[in-house]
Amino acid sequence: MKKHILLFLLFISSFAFAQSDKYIPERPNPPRLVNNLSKEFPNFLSSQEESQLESKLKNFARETSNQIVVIIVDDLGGLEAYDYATRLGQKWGVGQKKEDNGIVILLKPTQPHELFIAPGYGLQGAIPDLTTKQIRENEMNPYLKAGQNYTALDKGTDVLMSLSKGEYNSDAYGKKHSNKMPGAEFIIIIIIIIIFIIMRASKGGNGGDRGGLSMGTGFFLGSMFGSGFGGGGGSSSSSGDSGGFGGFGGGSFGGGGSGGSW
Amino acid sequence: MTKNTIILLVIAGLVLLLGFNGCGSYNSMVTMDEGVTAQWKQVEVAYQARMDKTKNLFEIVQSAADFEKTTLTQVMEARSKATSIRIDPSNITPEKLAEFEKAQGAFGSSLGRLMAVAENYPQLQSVQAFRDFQAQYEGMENRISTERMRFNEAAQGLNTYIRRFPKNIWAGIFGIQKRAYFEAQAGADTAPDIKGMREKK
Repeated sequence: MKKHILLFLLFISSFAFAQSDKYIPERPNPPRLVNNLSKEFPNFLSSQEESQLESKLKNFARETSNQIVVIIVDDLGGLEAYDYATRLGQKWGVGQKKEDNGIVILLKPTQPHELFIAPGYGLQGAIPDLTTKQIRENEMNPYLKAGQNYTALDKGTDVLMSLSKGEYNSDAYGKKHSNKMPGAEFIIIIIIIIIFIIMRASKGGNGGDRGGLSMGTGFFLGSMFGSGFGGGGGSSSSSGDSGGFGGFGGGSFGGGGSGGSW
Repeated sequence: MTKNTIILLVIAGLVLLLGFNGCGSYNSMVTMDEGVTAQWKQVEVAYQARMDKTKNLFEIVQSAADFEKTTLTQVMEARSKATSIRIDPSNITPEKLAEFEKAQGAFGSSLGRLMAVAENYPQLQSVQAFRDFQAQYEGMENRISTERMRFNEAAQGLNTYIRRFPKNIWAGIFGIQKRAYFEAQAGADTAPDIKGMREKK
């Protein structure tokens, strides 16, 4: 019985929080900037166009560290376009962690058509919502309507690239926290624990204690393995895999940008 | 003697384990708690952006058309009411948060109504500044719901974390408390119908 409880506690303690991004596809490995995940329109871009666009965006990412991701999907899993694009940018970590200089271009070629341009936090100054609307309407929509998908993306990314070049306000998002534990506090904790244990020990050494003790130890061990003791979910940086641009850098997105049909 | 040594060793081992566990829990809890506070600031930024941008909107609307007075007055009143409610990020009580949400929700929905009514004013539609606002309006609301959602996730993450054994003991010792979060998701009944507006465009 005790064993079962112990196993159960171990199981619980190693559990991470529920994933709310279950409809967002996993980050591609090796990292890619142009991702056509559409099953209905696998040739939204020809393979030649796709690699052309990929290398254009890769070069740009290498030169400026700004990352533009193009994602083509059939359905948004019930999410609104802005939500999907924002969550995807956040989950993949498009752009660099400090600069938040990523852009997600979301395309849904199935009906109803959706196109959303979402700049990361750091690029919202350089590319305001209004501008993303103008880019959609002037550079992209006319070509998408005509079925010239590559031209639409080529022209759209041209403008986005020149706008974002060398321009981001890095102080837009400063949520860095130090994770240090001063020595004094550590000692106080130890003292509290010792007092706690002495109090428990003095309460009486009946036989039942031993079982409880080992179970407690097991659990503490378990929860240590479960949560580690550095705490704070380390957001995954790129796995050092060179996708030609160094991988995604952990940029953040805040729901900015604009979208619509074409 | 040997029995005592064993007991001492066990206690020493336990102390170490507890110490590590306590530190780990403490660090995680503090990081998460700070994360909630930091995220609250993002929430405020998003709401504040709506405040700031609507200030211009009133001027545009008033100068461009003899706009329906009641709708405009309602929005202005709701806005000034929402402006008056401030929250101390380190002490977000459920009551205060509900008050904040109610005021902001009332402002948001009256603004939504104004934007819907504005569709019937071609004179207003022809003003570039108004069209610019229209384009930003959607982004404003999107940012608010994104930051709200993240705030809720952060608060709920912390709440779940500190309720689990043995973290609940540590949380008690260190005084880390449950955080309040937004109850209704984006105020389902009050939120402006952005999607409807989008389709109309």
